[in-house]
Amino acid sequence: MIQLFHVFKSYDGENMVLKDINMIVEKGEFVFLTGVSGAGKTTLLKMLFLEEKPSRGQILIHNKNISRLSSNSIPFLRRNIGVVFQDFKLIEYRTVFENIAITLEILDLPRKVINQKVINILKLVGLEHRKNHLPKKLSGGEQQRVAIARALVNDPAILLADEPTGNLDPQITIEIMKLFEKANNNGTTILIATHDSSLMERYKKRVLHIEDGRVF
Amino acid sequence: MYFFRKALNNIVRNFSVNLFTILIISTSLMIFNLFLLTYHNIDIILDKQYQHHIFLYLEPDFDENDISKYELEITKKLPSTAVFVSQKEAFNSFKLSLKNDASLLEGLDESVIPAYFDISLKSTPSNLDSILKELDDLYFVSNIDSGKEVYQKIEKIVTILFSILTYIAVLIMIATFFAIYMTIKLTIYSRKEEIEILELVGATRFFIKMPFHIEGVLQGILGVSLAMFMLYLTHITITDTFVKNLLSPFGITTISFIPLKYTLFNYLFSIIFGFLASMFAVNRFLKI
Repeated sequence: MIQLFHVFKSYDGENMVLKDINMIVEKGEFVFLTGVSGAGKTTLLKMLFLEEKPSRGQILIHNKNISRLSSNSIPFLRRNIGVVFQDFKLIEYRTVFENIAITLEILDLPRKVINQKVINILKLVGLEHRKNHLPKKLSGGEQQRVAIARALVNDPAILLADEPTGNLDPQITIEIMKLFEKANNNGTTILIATHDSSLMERYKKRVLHIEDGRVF
Repeated sequence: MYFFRKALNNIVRNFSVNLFTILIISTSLMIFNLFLLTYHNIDIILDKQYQHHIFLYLEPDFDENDISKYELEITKKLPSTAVFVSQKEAFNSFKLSLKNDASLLEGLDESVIPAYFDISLKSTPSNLDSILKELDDLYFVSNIDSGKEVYQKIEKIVTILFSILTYIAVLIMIATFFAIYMTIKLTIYSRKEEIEILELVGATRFFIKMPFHIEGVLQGILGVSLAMFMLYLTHITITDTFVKNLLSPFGITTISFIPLKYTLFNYLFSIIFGFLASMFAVNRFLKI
């Protein structure tokens, strides 16, 4: 599903943020990517949905070398990857419903289908009553759940989450992890970047550790 | 429909900027169309009053029994209808046209005004000048007023008006282009965050750009619609007051609104410029 071969990444051409990364995540797997802040977890995730391109090496998703994708093909790759961003990336002036619907609107789905799917996912994340609110009216945990709903509403093959439980209280963390497990049970491959060791202790999943730009 | 809704949302969200742009476009087009309206109406008047209308004055000693013969000779040379106006009729008509100043004619009788033929051309022959010369040489003709001098003077005004129209058209193109260009630029900046998110969730370039193009086109359409509405109101006001009080003595009883083809041209122009300006702004400021 996700394969990285000898991947290097440098932002300035000199200092390597990621060095010779080799890793494989199988289809339907649930993997934690861990490491201290600044270890390169976010950079690695960004390369998987091509927000950043690798300086060297090959990244294969569904056996397709995404490093070679033309800029016109990138949107179609991204439609199969749900991303939960560390800073949520919610549009401030759009309602919760509209923020989630964006993912479906770009697919040109009928309005009826969009409405149904958004309502279903809002029920799943427990925010149906908040659908007409603007993100700034929500708590941090609720915003996080909106970001997760947006990432999952399209039933993506892969879900990438960058510190999805950072700064959340334990109860909300459990709720959010339940959502990920549910998606994983439905066949979505999940890769979560986190430095929260308690998560890895609680949920017995494969852990990839990044240290000094290398994966162990 | 989605793109149209997004474009409308953009306009509503940046309402003051969009309103300003629409006002710039409509004011520019309003000025242009006022000149166009004037040009169009002068053209009609020239066509009606002068090009197709000739007064053929008779010698004082003409024979009233030969009127039909004269008429036949005139219409044989010119494809027209010639209506005889006697001295008495001409005098009364002139007196009427003077309205309150009719007293100026006191003490004068109909002999001061010659009898004439009011000739309406069915079409304007290419050798009109030589035909008029032939008519002038006829024994019963005193002189001919084809309105040529007045026509030429007005034609000069029309030429000047046309030049002004051309300059205004160029200025409007520039104003419309930059007004829309700047608005789209501001909209792109205000939606920067949304555009980034759209990209990250898999929106294509077409999907992201299209609402901006529609926004540019909508601004053009709204601008031209407002201009046409204001022009129509101005036209009604002018017809009601200006024409009735000032122009009716000259035989001008109405002012035509600009023809449909010019209105359609206005819309076409605004749509094309709205699209072009948004295209330039999107290509310049939307880095995706």
